[in-house]
Amino acid sequence: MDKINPWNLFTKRLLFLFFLQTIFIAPVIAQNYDLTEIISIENSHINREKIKYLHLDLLMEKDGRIYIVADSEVMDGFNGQSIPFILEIHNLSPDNQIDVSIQGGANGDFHSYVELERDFLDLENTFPDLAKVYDIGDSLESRNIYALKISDNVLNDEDEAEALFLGCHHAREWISVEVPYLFGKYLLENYHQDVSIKNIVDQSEIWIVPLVNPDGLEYSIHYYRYWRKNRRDNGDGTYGVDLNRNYGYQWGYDNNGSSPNTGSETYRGTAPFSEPESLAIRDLFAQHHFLSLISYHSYGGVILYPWGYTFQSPDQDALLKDLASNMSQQMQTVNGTFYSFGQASGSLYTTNGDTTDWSFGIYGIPSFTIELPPPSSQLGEFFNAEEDIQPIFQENLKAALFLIEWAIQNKPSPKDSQEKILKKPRSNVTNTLKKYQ
Amino acid sequence: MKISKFFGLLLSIFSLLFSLPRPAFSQLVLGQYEDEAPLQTWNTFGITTAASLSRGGTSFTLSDDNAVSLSNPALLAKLPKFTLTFSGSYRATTLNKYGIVNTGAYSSSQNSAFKVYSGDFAGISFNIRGWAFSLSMGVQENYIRPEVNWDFEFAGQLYYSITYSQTGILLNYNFSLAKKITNGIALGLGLNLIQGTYKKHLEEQWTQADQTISDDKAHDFYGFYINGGIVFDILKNFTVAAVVRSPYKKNADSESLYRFFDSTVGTDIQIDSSETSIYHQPLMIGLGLQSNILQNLIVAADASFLNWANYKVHYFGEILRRDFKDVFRFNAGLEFRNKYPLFNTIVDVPLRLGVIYDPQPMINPNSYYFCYTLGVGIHLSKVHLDVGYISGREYGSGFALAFRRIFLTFNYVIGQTI
Repeated sequence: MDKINPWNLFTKRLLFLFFLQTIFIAPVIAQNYDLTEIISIENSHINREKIKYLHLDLLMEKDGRIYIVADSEVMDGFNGQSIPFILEIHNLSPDNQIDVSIQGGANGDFHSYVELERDFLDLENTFPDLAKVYDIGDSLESRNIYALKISDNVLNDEDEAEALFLGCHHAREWISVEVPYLFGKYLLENYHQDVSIKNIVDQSEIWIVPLVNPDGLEYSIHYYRYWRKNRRDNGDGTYGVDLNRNYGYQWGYDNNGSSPNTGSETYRGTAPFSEPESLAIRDLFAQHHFLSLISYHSYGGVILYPWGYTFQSPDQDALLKDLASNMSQQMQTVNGTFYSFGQASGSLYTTNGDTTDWSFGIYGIPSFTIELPPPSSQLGEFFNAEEDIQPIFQENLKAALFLIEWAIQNKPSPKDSQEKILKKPRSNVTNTLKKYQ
Repeated sequence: MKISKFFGLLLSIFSLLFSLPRPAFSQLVLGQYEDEAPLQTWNTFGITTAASLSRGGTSFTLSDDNAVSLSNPALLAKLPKFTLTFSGSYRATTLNKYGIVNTGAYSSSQNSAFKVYSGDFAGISFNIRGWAFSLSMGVQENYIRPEVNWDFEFAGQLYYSITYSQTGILLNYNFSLAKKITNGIALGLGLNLIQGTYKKHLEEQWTQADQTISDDKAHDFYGFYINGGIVFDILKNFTVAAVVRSPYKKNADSESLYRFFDSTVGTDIQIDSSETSIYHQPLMIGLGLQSNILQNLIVAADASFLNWANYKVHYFGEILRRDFKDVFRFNAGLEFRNKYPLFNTIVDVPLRLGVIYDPQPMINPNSYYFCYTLGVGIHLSKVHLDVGYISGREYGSGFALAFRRIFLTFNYVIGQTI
């Protein structure tokens, strides 16, 4: 066995040092000459003529300005041609900065919080007449909970059917972010191409909150893939409240449908709406008259409707069953995937304090939990392959459109609405409205 | 008689070191379980060796060994003609929060005991005709953490197991140059390359169902920064210094792989990603002073500013939030320089002590560490051996976390300190 000569090792380290210097210093210096900025110029005829043959990297036209990715050479050229421009990247707040050079992240094609924020703002910028992003509340770790509103005259609160789509109450269910996000994107991108989509968007106000639990999702991406709850420090060494057991209808009904133990995966929290994330959804409801709700989860390939807390059938069992059945049929036509359906307590397991029991119990609206694929544990549990995102979205698209159409057709008349407002909510809902940004 | 006094003194010092109240060791970094979280303080400025560490970490004005190239390269101009330095340490600590541990997924009833022996620094320096230069390498950060292995068995059968491991190290390669401008002023400049690795592996197995999920993250770090300094002997017994470390990008080629595998039906879902990560390290500037207030007593103090408010992380291309604030760190120490006869020669036996006020950059919890340090050296004509001890305690979080570390530094010198 050869003896290790420390002097040889040391010499090698020195040689390595000089090798590293050669390799690394050059790129560092080179990077300084390759800076690009997003700039904008006035969208005037003169400017358009001036830049016509410059082969610029045009980003978009918005609010009377043309946005361009420009390096120092382009900016020097603009100065030479007396084209006034604004450095737009510096006008964006740090949270809103779009890193145009980098996509993906550790979680592949699935969205992280930052990616969703960026893509939502991108949709709003691209479709300013149809899409508006709202911050409906902050998570425990001060992340924004975003809602995307889609409608014609999106800035106005019109007397139209309102439908709500929620995702990612549970952090590890990454696919539940993608389906509602892609649904919003689909509506916007097809508004001008597809008359049926235009009709739906024109007659309704569609609200999409794909990431109810941003803190949990970030923890799931960066530290523990199977994290489920939010990031509440329970003070006893355990973390997290199950947001889908924290809503205020029959909260804590029993210890089977939720748990009083802080370490449990279904820990319901110290009180109904003890968590800012569920509170944000409650406040959103208090400001709107939603006529339908889908809350996306995984896994199972199941459509569930209230009640979850009891095996008793709800008042409107027939309606809920009919809607679920119709949605399931619509979904099966896409890829042949069958989503079974039924009352939540009977189909899966009892749950109390969940979103749909609350929205149905308090507001009386058809409310569905859709457990997205895979259908079984053996086929991936809370994992979905990146290439399965689109097929799963496509089969859920039809169900979502179907439910919005139902909401449009069943929107109460103004008189009925007035009566409904007077009647609702059925139980205590505080009116501490959160002001939108 | 004098020799026995000398050894008596040494014995007393080491007895003191090991009889100090043993703190409940824990991780210095509170709730910072991100990949880049350091094993102890965030505020590293150079690589500490025993002499400077035991003097309260003061390293801007006193040239103990060639590790000064990382804190104030101007001090190289005060070193002897040739120095060769090796330094290592023993660190005993327990960790509270890291990775999945005590952050939600896996909790421990007590802190995890952790011991690390490491070679920290090696360097050589030459000081010829007013010019000095050095080459060195050192360990800037250690990412190793205690492993987690936990099994759930029922009725003699294994149902579930979880494994978590994390390893990694960040090395700093330095080339420094210093020039004595006048009799009282010296300037120094250091070029630094950093290089390192980080690997994290998490695996859960449901053995009855033959299912495994795993999460792997890996980073290959690289980066470059400059440090510099000036030292000015204002009076014969009074010296001041100013130092700076440039902000820099700690880049990483990062890879991630999530995997679900079910062997019963062959389901194998993999989500992999390769991106660049960037950790924008902060600007650091510092001021130091030292004075011989008595013939054999030196007082030294350093103050450092760390621009953590501008700290940014691009993790796999995404900007991640880090709520950090700027901090000022203060170091102060004393050094008694004594001479004792030993084996027909006279040896220098510096005795050192000091304190460190080390606020951490996290806004929440708003915490700082107060550390005390002790140390002793035996300096023969060409061989210097120094031992240093640090014990730190945290205030502000309510957890009263603490750590301790012992340093041993060997220094071979030719010539006299200038």
